[in-house]
Amino acid sequence: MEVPADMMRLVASLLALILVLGACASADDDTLTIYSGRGEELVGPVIERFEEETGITVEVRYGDSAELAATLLAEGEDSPADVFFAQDPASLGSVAAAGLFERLDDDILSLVDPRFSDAGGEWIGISGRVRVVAYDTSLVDPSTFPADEDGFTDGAWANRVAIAPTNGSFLTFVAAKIVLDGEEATLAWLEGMAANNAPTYPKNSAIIAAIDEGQVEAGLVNHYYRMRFAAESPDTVVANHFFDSESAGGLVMPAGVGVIGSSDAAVQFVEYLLSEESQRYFAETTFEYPLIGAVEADPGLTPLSELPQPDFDLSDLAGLLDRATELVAEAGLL
Amino acid sequence: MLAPTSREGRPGARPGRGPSRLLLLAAFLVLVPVALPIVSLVGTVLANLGELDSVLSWERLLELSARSVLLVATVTATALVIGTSLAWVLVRTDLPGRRLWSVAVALPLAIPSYVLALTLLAFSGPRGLFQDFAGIELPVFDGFFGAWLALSLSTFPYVFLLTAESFRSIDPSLEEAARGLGASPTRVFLTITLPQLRPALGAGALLSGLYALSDFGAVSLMRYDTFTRAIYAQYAGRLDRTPAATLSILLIVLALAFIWGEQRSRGRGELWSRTVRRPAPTHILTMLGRAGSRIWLSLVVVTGVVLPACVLVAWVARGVAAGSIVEFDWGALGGTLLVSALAATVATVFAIPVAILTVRHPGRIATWVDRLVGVTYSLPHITVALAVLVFTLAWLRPLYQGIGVLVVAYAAVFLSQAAGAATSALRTVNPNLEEASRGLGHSSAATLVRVTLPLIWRGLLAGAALVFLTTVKELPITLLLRPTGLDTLAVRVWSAAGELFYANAAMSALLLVLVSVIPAYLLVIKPRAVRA
Amino acid sequence: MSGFISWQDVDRAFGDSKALARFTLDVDEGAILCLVGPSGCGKTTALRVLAGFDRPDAGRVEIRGRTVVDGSSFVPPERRSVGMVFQDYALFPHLTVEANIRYGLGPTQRNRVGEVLELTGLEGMGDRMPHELSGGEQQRVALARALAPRPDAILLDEPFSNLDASLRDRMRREVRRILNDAGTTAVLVTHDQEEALAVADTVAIMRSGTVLQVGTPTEVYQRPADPWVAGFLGDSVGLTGHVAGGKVSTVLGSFLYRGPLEGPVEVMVRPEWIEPTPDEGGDVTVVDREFYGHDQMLELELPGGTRIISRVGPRPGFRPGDVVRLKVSEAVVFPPE
Repeated sequence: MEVPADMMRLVASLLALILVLGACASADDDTLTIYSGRGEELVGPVIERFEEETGITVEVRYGDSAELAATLLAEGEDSPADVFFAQDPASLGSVAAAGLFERLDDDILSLVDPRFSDAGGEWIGISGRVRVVAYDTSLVDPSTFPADEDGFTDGAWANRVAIAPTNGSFLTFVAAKIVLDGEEATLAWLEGMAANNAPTYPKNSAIIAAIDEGQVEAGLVNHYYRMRFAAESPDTVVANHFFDSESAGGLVMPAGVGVIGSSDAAVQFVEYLLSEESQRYFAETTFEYPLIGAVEADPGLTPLSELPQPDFDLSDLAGLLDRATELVAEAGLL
Repeated sequence: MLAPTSREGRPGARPGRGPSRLLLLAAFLVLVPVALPIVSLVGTVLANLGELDSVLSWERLLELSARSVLLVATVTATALVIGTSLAWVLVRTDLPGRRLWSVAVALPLAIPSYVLALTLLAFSGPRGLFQDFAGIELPVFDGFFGAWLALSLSTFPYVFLLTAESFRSIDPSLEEAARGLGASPTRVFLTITLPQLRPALGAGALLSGLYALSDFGAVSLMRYDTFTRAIYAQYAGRLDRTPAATLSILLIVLALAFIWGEQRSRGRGELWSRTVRRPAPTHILTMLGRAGSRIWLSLVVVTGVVLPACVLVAWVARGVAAGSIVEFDWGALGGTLLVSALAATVATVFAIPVAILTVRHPGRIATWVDRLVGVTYSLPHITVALAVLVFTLAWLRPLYQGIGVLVVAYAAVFLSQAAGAATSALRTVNPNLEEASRGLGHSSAATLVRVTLPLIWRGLLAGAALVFLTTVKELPITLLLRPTGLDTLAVRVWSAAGELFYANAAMSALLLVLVSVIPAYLLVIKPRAVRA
Repeated sequence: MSGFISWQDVDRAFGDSKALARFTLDVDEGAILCLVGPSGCGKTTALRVLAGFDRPDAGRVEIRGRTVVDGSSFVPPERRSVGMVFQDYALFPHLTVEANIRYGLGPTQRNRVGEVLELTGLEGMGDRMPHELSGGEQQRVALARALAPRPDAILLDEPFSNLDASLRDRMRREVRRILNDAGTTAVLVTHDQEEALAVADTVAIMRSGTVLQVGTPTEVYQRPADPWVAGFLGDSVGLTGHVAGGKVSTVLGSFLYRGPLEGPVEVMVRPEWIEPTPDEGGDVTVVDREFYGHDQMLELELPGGTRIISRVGPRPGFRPGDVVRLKVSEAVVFPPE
């Protein structure tokens, strides 16, 4: 058989066409590129408003916070991203540690309680989220809950308290527990949960849905999932329980933002996220804690100031994500 | 590979002729993106093999392997039973409304397995939707049972499509000869019909089993721990991506073992696809058989299509009632159509040299090409996406985050489906036709365009439809490799459901199913059109 | 009393086209019957109705005195004790030769495999796969498989049509020998009249779903029932004639005739019945000649301008332009159309 030369050319030119198309599709310089570890459902409307008000074109890459952090680390200085908007301080900390963030101005940093930002000013907290116990009000009496997460390793809670061991917010909580209680205690707690046969779910949302459908009694999640769920299912039996102790299990974890490279639009975006308008959106629509003084949290929530919090530097979380995963795996939860 | 492949003396081979250098070059070009993920994985793993047991304990690895194997085995067996029985009823009996039923049973192809899992979970359980409506409490469909159910329902249409075509092409005189020799209808089915279906069953088993092996969404929602969940956990929970790659190599080993097992189980007989002179005899169903067939079909269609659709509609209704704003996401719809159509086109173009190599020049090279294509199909998409991402970042920086890389990655992973369809189509083309064209003074390229392609385009279209259907619901590759700003329906479903915006998730999922009806219809009507 | 195999008034229609119309035929025990006719005449349908692969609309079929199908009963193919040899052989491609042959045998009849392998000349081939065999060997396997369970009858559907010409002649003799050795009743369907005459004990000629004539090969060839049968079974010369006073007169001369017809008739003569002799005084001219070696075909022109053909041995003296005299040994008389 001779050369199917035309076919070859066809294949080759098609490949070339696609690749060129792809190259053209890459973002150009006029747009603000945001890597968002927060879901489109949550921050999409805020970004749209920002575009409308400033006329800046925004391209968003949605993904998992840790995944985007890893992507940023791989991309390095050439990253097309101008802003990294992440769910958790650990992912932000890793990017900060790699020196990719531009330090933020003090007048921006001063908007937010320094407890919720990077000590070095590399990134700033945007909204607060609290670790809670979501539970089925028809099955569990909240007065029986232990003072903190350590009590759930007791045999009385066997099979009853769900966790999402592969989920970013759970891993950040484990990282925080390492900082607060040490590796040994953290591993012991994870092993205790494993020994207690804690049902494992892939995500916080799956835990809430499972509680609502009567498949499990309680679970360790972020506080706003229950409220978001209630927005579509007002009759839900799921309620939140806040720990009344200074433990990792009740820690406030800010979602935060950092700026990569020097871009005025990026700084404008950060300022916009901290505007009253955006903060009110986070308070009312996503049910998170606003972090600027001018906006109140949802009236159904315990005010931020009344939540007992341990003394804690969020920057300590940087680099602990991998260690947290290793401990979870060692405890047999992966 | 998707297509039933036969062994020695296979139809369409041109004995005594090696493939031309240019054909090999074309195949090589196609195989670069196909092989890339594997090569990159093997490289990573060879560098880190010693650390395997520091990622997970050996006992845990063994346990996860056992669970994956159990799931793959049961899902494959179930998909074979459901798919084959439906194909028999819908091809070989006189049941009224066969065509409509055929489209209905192909539709689960359009429902992502994680959506199926999500809806099954919402339907069952002490306070599930079934309890709400019927007042009867069902056990939760989760764990092994749930994963098995969701994946069996997601994969049986592959077996159905393949065996239905095979049932049509079996030489009817074989069954008559067996009847004439005194065999009962049951014995004929077991000893003659089933062995003739063997290539289709093998291909169906591969598609279903490899799908079950690489699925992440459904097993994680069903809380059944398998290898993919462990890989995903390593990937999502670490900034270091080596451990995920290291675990993936074990998955490749499992996939290879499965592919090897399928090849070993082929008999030494020839299984041919000859042109059928007359249609296979139609089995006249008794009243009882008719009722039984209808019940079986309804059961499958209700659990695989109607039930998920109802749950989705219920979610939309619930969200609207609670005041949520539910909107059609036209951008995501456009994104889905764009990337799926491109992926289907590129995969089909890629499939042509692979099919020519496999059919016209069977031999060692063709066998290895076949295997490579199958292994890449079986890789967890997350590892493929990562490998491509890392490679593009390092070597093809200008193309980074471009739509081209995304489409080529889809095409590489789903090439197995397109190549399978192209291969079985090409097998029915007599090589003498191509030689006649060459003898009449046309180049091989002109022959390809003027003779071969017109004869196999329906097969190519079917392969493209299958790739389209699979791309529409693909998630991990899309998430990682899509250009910044490109949205697809599958991504919308996943992220909205993850944030508990069920109404919006359900709306996108319904759109996704709607988008898939046309390719599903194309797949089902194809064999009829060919016969006409 | 009907035959060993018998079709009685069988009707079978596919849509508007009638494949069988009051089809009636008997086959004697141990005989080889050839059902011959042009394609589409319904012969394969007759075979499939007999085997049980097709169900007639009306009529009755009996095998060995037992009704296998009529208006109220239907015996499924596996309980009819007939072996079928298909046009494409239908060898199970996933089974060895031996396993193919064993397929119809019970567990106690295993030694039968060796017997039929020997009968069909397939010794030592039991382990082969069907696709490894030549066309002739595949046919032997198909026959061996059908014979193995000692069926009441063997049915062969166009068994030689997939073989090339030289192999076909050999296999015809071979199949006939095997069927005779096995002593089985056989029904063979073919569209090739030469094949039918060569293989059959009895030939049944079919057209449009009905049997036109049944008889030995000699009978049907020498005494066809009508001009269509005459033309279908071989070359023939058709002439008009006139019967008067125990004689029929034609352009070829007059013959003695003892039959019921009077007045105008049609007369059929086989070319080999016309014997030309070179004679300078003759009134018939040789127009053309085709020489085959074992015989030759002459085109002759009669005095009135009528042209006829004649088959003679490879004798010299018949070049175009030569003049001959004719002698006609016999003729068949039909009523006028």
